[in-house]
Amino acid sequence: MKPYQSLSQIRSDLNARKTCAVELTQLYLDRIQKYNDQLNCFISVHPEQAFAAARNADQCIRQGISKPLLGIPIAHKDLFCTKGLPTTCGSKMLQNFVSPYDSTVVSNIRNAGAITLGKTNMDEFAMGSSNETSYFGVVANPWDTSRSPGGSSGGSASAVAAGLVPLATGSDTGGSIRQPCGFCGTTGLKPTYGRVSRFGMIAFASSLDQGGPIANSAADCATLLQAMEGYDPRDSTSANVAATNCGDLNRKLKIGLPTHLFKDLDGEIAQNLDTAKAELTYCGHEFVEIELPHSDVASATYYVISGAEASANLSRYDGVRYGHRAESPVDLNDLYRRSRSEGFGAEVKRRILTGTFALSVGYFDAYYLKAQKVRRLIRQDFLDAFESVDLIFTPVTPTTAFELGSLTDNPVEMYQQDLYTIPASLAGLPALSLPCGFKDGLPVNFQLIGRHFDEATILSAAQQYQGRTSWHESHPTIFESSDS
Amino acid sequence: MATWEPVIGIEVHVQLDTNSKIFSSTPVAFGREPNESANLVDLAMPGSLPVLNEAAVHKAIKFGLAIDAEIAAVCRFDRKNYFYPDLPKGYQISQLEEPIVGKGRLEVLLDSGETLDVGITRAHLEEDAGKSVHDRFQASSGIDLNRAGTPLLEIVTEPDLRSPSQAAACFRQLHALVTCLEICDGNLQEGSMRCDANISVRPAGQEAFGERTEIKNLNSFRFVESALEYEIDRQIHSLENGQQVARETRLYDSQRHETRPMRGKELSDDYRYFPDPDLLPVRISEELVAKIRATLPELPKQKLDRFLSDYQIPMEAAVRLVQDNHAGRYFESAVGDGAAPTLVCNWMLGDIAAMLNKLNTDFAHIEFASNELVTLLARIEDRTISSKIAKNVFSKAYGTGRTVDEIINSEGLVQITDSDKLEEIIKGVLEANPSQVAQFKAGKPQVAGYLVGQTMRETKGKADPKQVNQILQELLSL
Amino acid sequence: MDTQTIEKLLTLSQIQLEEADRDALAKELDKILAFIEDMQSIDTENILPLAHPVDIDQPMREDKAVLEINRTVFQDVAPNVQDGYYIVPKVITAR
Repeated sequence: MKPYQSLSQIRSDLNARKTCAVELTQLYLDRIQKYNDQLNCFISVHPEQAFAAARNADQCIRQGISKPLLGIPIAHKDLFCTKGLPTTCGSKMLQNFVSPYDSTVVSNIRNAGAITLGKTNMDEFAMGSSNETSYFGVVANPWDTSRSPGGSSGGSASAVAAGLVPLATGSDTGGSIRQPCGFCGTTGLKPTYGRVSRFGMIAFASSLDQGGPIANSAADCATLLQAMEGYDPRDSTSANVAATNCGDLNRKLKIGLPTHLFKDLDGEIAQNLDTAKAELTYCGHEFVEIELPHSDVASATYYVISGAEASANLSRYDGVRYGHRAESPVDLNDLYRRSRSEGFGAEVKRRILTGTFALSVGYFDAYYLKAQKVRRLIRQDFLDAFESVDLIFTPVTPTTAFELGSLTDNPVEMYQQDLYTIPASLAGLPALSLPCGFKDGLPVNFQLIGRHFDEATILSAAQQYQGRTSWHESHPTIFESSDS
Repeated sequence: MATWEPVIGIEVHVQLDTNSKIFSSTPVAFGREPNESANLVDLAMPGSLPVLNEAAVHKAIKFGLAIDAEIAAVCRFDRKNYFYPDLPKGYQISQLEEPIVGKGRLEVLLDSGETLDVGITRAHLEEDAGKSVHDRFQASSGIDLNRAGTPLLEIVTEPDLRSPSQAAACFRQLHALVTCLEICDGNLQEGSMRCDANISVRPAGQEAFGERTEIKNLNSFRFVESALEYEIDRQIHSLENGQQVARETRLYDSQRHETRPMRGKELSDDYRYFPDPDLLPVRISEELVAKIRATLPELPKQKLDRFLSDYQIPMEAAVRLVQDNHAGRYFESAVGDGAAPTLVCNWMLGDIAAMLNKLNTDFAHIEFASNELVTLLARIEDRTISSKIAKNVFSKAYGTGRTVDEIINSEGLVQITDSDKLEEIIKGVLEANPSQVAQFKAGKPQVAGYLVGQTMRETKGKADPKQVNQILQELLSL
Repeated sequence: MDTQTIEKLLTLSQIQLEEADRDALAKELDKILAFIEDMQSIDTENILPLAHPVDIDQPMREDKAVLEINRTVFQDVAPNVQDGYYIVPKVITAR
């Protein structure tokens, strides 16, 4: 059976009793069973819990109870703690970790009525842009299984693109939602830092990490965001702000275009973006040239800050209270060193060591402190730009999905994959990645960045755009089969 | 030979008396089963996050105001990174660059009643670590994280102290202050306050400080004094023998009365402090500071002045009552119920102190209510019992829950004040001791003392010796 | 990056590597450092560091204690516990 294209279709079928939650769960679990071997999007799938939740949802539906995601199947990136289910963070370190509690995001989504099908694959501890650092194997891009789905939320993006699930959660530290959505041609939002609670979302870099929705459209992202967001007293960095309220866009926007970022862009990708610009112009919006003068050092700044924070965040994995523990340690240091060395993969170690370096005596000022100062300048660039524009339009990725394995030996080149997504991360701004075409059969996305806590404008503009285009409805044909 | 001057500064970790931990809602509890009082945050479960307890902040501000310190308008928390099994996150949340309490002054009351002005460099908030248990398991240690996350205020003094007794007095003063402010229970045995001392010596008259050592984890006033005495001697001895003092951390062994370097600190001292990204800047408004200022109790120095002028008690006694907040409260309660201040004071610092000492406890845990002391003093005053019997009554009443009056009545301890009855008893004593009576009459008046003693024995102490003596003299002069 | 620095970073972060992997790591870290050096070209004089992207203050929690004894659940995921304690090789170095 074919997957649904949108939440509104699922909702209307549920309301018309053409389907029920159990049937939906069956449909998507069947698709997962059929295609996950090829794609490896899921680290774990939980039919028993899913059917129990689905039966419960059907009962609610029969009783006339209405909830925003009632009966809708969803998958969670495997860094959101889910009580009683494995939560691995893509790492050998947490291979056997069954979370004793639910993250706020997971419990919010469950309270909204959604049904958790499973946990999606990801780069280890969310460190990576290709999903190749996962201990549980690489994820394939559904448009071309020899290519990377991007990372770190590659499992979630690939699963949504292939129709294995209509919605998925992701997390974005430097582009981990937007870049894989770009590679897989799905829509994904990194919310403003502080909009979505980080409680129970396993930390990579605390001042950058933000959970967000991945779905088939901006409208579906908005629905999922509304279920995820909200002030959480258990996360000190959670912001007490009004809920996201997007409706029809009844005003003309000024959209900033940092033309200097398009300079070295691949010609065909640039053409796709031009078409999207034309569409937005046609809607009545005006493009204004802006400058983000410090964006070319954003990646360097990001790797210092995220590495430093990660080096401390990952110190808790010591083989004592949970996680991988080395066999028969001879002493305490042996326990620490072997547990950590065996439990962490190469990329995680590189980041920890880089971060440790940036914080150590003699280098702190030149690296960590310097990066924090540059971070202020980068944020100021955006604040200045937003004095005169409502949104900023940029590419998401410098290339379309690359071949698996092509960048694994070159960490620095891999880091540069995120050059368009990192600036908004450092500035804590909301940013949406959405499809606008193809190059050689591979999706091309563009990015809309908004003011702090102004997800509504981004999502409304994107809904307007997607109302006029159908790129977001394209799905890789090999997964469209209906022979089940 | 040169004379040496010690230069000492202390750092005191004060466990703030809050209901819950500094970054989690787990109760701060002693005596629970291992790891029962440790939740997600205390165990550093993946994904868990800290949320600041306002009471810890308020108590730190209260301390700052009591020492006239600057209270930071904005303070922040840093991560101090190192691996240790009782430190579950692999870092301790502390404050390095922007502590909540800045420079202040502490007036230290010395036993003499003089005061010593000691600079407070800073005081900052941090979380306590858990505990390692070494003797319970073979070849292993057990980790109990119940204490992890208990709020601490680390108070750092300037190197203004010049002798071990000054250092001990300073620690005692901080103890008096934090208990008076009710921000800490002051229980030294349970580790509610722990003192580290930095110590160096220099030739008298020299301005530059010598190389210093740090002695860690001194948990009694006496240990502060004795550890420093030992360490000063050790440093002087080294210097006089042409050796250097090595900058190091040492531990005090009270059994052997010596300090020893801490064994192999394998890990580097590079703590890589940086602002904790899970916590935001803490803004402290002037309104909040004013609100807390209004709750400040009478501080020890003010209390001392009042005790001296209102109650006319000796300086040394007043100092002791002020240093121990619980003793001060006990004293005021007894005096408030009408007892004579000097008598209350004498009892508290005499018999009661001796009893507490014997039981190894203190006024915080006294098991003899102040109104019982008032009754006891009233019974002496109205001559129901003698002072001597009173001591007896006290020791029978202490810790038993029996009242003074009940003991006096049920054990027949009421003093014999009826002179006819006393005369009868004394006559009996005189008849039984004819030779002593003869000696007295032959001009040996000191024998009267013996006869008074015999009478007291006969009455089981229930007579007033003064009255006995008076009647005796009358009878003998007949 | 010299051997001594690598050695220190490994010690501080409690990670161990085979001799051969260490050289490879040093080369990688050198490349990463070169990449990071980009940042040094920016003039940051009189610029304050930015630790959080959104300007909000630390909220404070009321001092209410909640005792939930979940030791069994928490220790279910622990690799080695005994009598309620987490077990580690004998701690011999003092804090």
